[in-house]
Amino acid sequence: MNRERIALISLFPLGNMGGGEFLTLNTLKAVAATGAQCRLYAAQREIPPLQPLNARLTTEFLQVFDSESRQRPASLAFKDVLAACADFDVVWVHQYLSNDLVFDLINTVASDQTLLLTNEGHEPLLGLFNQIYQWSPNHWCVEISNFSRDRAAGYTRQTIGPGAGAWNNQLRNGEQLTRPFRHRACCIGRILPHKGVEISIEGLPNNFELNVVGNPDLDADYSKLLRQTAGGKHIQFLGPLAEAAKTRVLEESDVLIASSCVSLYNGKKIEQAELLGLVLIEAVAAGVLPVASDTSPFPEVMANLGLGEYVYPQRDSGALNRILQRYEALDDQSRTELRRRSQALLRQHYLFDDYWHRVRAAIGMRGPE
Amino acid sequence: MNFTLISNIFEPHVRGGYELGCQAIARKLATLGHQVTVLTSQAPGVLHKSAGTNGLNVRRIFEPVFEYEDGLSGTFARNPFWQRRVDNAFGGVLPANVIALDEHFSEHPPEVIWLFNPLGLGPVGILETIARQPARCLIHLMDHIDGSIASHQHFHFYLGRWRRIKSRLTAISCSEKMRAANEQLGPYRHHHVIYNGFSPQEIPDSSRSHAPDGAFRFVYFGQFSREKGLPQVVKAFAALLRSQPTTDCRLDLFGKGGAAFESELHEQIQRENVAGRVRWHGFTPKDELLRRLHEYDAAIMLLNPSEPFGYAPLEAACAGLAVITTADTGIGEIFPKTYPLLVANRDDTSSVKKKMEWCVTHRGELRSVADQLWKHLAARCDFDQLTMPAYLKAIEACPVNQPIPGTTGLLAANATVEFASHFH
Repeated sequence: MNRERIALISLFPLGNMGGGEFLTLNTLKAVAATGAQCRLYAAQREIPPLQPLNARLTTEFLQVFDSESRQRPASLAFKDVLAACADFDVVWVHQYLSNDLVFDLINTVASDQTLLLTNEGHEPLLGLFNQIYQWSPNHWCVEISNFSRDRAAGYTRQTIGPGAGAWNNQLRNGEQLTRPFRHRACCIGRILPHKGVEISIEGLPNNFELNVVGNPDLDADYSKLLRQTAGGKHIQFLGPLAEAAKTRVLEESDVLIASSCVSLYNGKKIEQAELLGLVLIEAVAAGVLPVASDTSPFPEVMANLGLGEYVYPQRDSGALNRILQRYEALDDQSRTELRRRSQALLRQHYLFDDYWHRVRAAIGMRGPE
Repeated sequence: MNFTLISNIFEPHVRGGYELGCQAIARKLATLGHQVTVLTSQAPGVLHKSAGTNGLNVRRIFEPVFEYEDGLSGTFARNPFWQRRVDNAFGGVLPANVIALDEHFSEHPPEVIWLFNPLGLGPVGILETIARQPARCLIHLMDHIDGSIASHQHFHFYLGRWRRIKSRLTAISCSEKMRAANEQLGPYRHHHVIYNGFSPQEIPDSSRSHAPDGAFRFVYFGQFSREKGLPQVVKAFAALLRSQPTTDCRLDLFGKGGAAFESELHEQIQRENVAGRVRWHGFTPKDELLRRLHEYDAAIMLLNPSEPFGYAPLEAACAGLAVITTADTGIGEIFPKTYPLLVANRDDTSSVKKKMEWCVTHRGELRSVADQLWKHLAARCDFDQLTMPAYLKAIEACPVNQPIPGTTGLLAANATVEFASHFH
């Protein structure tokens, strides 16, 4: 059997673990798990959106992983990454809207290869890409949600939106699904205005406590506002936690609140706040019930998880309050049933285990022969 | 079989051995009963260099290749539009040529596609369009194609794509030197070395049996360029005349080059004070040239060490001439190790002069030296007996490519990167 050969290239560094980095590394695992020959390259540091050719070609990358070698990660220039692309049948670029190195990759992938492009939210190149990109039959935008897919439809006819956010063996079961309600909620993510944390605080019923996990130093004004809003409520700001501690906070919660919004507290408006809502999937995997604002693509994810009725209009803290009280009002058995059902739907829509198979099927690509 | 041969230029646009080699192979295939079409570029204006007719089915579907013209290159050397055009023509994609080639293949699907020199046509686009066809796809390498492509990447970077496409083609190189040079940017699917051939029938029998007398006459024929070693030939000839003042030696030059180089060479001949002994013939049709070779005692061709092959020394040897030539060329690989007229360093004028002196003082032995040389070379380069059968064997072994429909992928990618480059 011929093994598939897949190169995964992140145009954004993987040093700080956020949603995008998590998706990239798990995409690698998903591909490698199928037995494919795969290699991961990542930018060593953030790259300016536009650079002249020589600067692009000498940009430092890291060969993070190679399924055929146990060598330690090695540094190399982007031109060597481009040359190495010739060895792969599929070249999969993550964070393709980060910078113009994507155009060199487009130029490198020949007609007998497949180019996959995935946006994970860092998109300074969006405007230019939208203007000049010419779609091609061997290119696919593999976006992480239908919302993201529909955005890409503005510049390509070939776009799909299969999401993924958890591995089957990570889904919690047993007591985690049957435990009683303890009025514990959490917010997890970067502390930035588009996350709408102030709405989560405002909408919190008085008999709930809220743990806020995330770096508060990214926007000082916003952090100050949150502390003011939290006055008199049971709110704890836990700061940025390591992965294990973050998971512990999540698993000890009954409810995860995701209040992202495109209308910000200061009156500003942004075009998009989220491309998937990975945290909603992580919550369900952990046996925690999510509440989400109706900011796209949250309603899509919540509907896919069978939780469409637990979505509230963004910035409407009253509506959030009512949903949290509805969760509280459910009896233990109903909550357990809801957790089980949403996990079953997660298995159907958002597993990494079959992610590569779902992508391949969606683009009509044949498997290895 | 139904063959499509592709050459960047073709008569009446002629530069040297590459396109003439393509022409000889096309003719031979036709005489063997194959259906042969040659695809090449248009040759308007200054590109119309000869009046030759070749009797082949030639279709001029590609854009003219002006980029080899010294005069134009000199005039536009600093012009960014010219630079970009040269980069695309020699190291990238010319969309019009891709479209023309794809249209041709859709109307006339060949069984064998045999690509010769792709430079000037947008080699990346040409190679990719060929590699998509359900045919036996080969490239015949008689030049530093990888080197040329690598040196024309100032605006876009095609080397990854080039490397990928190469893996879908079988290559034939005219020397080990060429094989090594053309694997620098990645390997071909298969890569054969088959030395260029020459047919002894092209030399009239009367020429070969004739022994010159009177003045001792050296001959050079081929492109007039620095790479071919003409300045070194003239310098060594001048040294010979100084060391042999009483011997009547002559040097005849057949060929053509760029105006700037020809002017420099004229000046050098005057400066070396050998104008009275050098006869400048200019461009001479090949059949006429071969008919006249019997008038000479020895050929002198101090080719560049990077010379892919070197047809001229082979032709001279077949015509019965002793050949003073450089050792490190492609054809040098198959010269006898004990051959007395090989030059290690063409810039060592004293050494070259000594080889010329040896010819003059051993005039009676030259015929024997030449006969032994040709006998040795013929065992490797007889076009009809060895070279052509080896080509056909390589073609037979070449797999038929899986088809990949449409040029859209290539053209869309090219358009995207062209647009992107305007933002830098």
